[in-house]
Amino acid sequence: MKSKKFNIVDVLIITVILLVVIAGIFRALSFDKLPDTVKNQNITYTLKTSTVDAIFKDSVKAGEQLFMGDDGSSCGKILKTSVSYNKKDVVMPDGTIVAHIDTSEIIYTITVETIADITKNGFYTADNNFIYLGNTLDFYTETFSFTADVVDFSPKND
Amino acid sequence: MNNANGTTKKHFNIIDVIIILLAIAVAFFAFNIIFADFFSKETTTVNFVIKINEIDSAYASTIKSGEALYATNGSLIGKIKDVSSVQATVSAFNYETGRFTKALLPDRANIYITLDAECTIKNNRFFAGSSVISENTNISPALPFSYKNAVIVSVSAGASTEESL
Repeated sequence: MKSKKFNIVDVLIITVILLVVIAGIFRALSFDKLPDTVKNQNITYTLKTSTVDAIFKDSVKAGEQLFMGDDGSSCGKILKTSVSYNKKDVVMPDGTIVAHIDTSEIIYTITVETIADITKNGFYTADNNFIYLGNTLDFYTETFSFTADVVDFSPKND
Repeated sequence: MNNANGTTKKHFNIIDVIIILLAIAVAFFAFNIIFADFFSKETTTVNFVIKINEIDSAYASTIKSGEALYATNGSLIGKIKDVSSVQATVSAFNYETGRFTKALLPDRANIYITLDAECTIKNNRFFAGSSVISENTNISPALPFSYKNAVIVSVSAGASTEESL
């Protein structure tokens, strides 16, 4: 009876498969994070939207869930919102530039709570998205989409 | 190895086993993707309003309720329930009052198209065909006139249902 022997092709295929599996496991278990990361903190963070039409002044509500990206990464729950009118620069007849309120456009300030791994200048969401101060990102609730800057974050004070 | 009949006896070796395992894994993922994305999907009826800005007033009456509205890529957006129009305005600075005011744009109208659509729910968003149905999102309906932009200004959803085959 002919004995079964591994040939070089068998060894190479098995080696490649093992390497892929090991790399996948290693990647899943050791997501690199900044060295000063503190894990699993209850935090609140603040978003300031770009200008949106005033018709949307009631479109973001406290209690709604917030998401980002095409894969719908969870970003936490909206705690509170406030709305301010946009200001636009106007060149006055004497040549000076003065900012005037334009009530046709608004800016939302949105406070969100979530559990995150925090660092000095940002935090990692549950889906390991790193959000840092000054980040401009596209967010959405179930019915409303907007672009906003991350302007503040801090551990939640219960 | 040849047997008494002169035919080759087939044995599974390690490569065969690995190939079969890989084939099973690929089949499993394909099955999962197909059933999750095509045969089992969460749907809901969504009522939403599209605002089309500053079109020629003469075209405001060309859209009729009861018609189906399609996106420019050919996918169905929804069925038109209502159409209304108002004269278009633009925010302009009034130097006499020192304030921004809404100025009327002559011969220009903003039209509001109210639709119902059977939307799929994916990643906590509504989709009518390939169009995202979300307030403050631009959409591209195929209309019998040109327009600057069309934006969704209102979205309200009914109860969702799970469709399975």
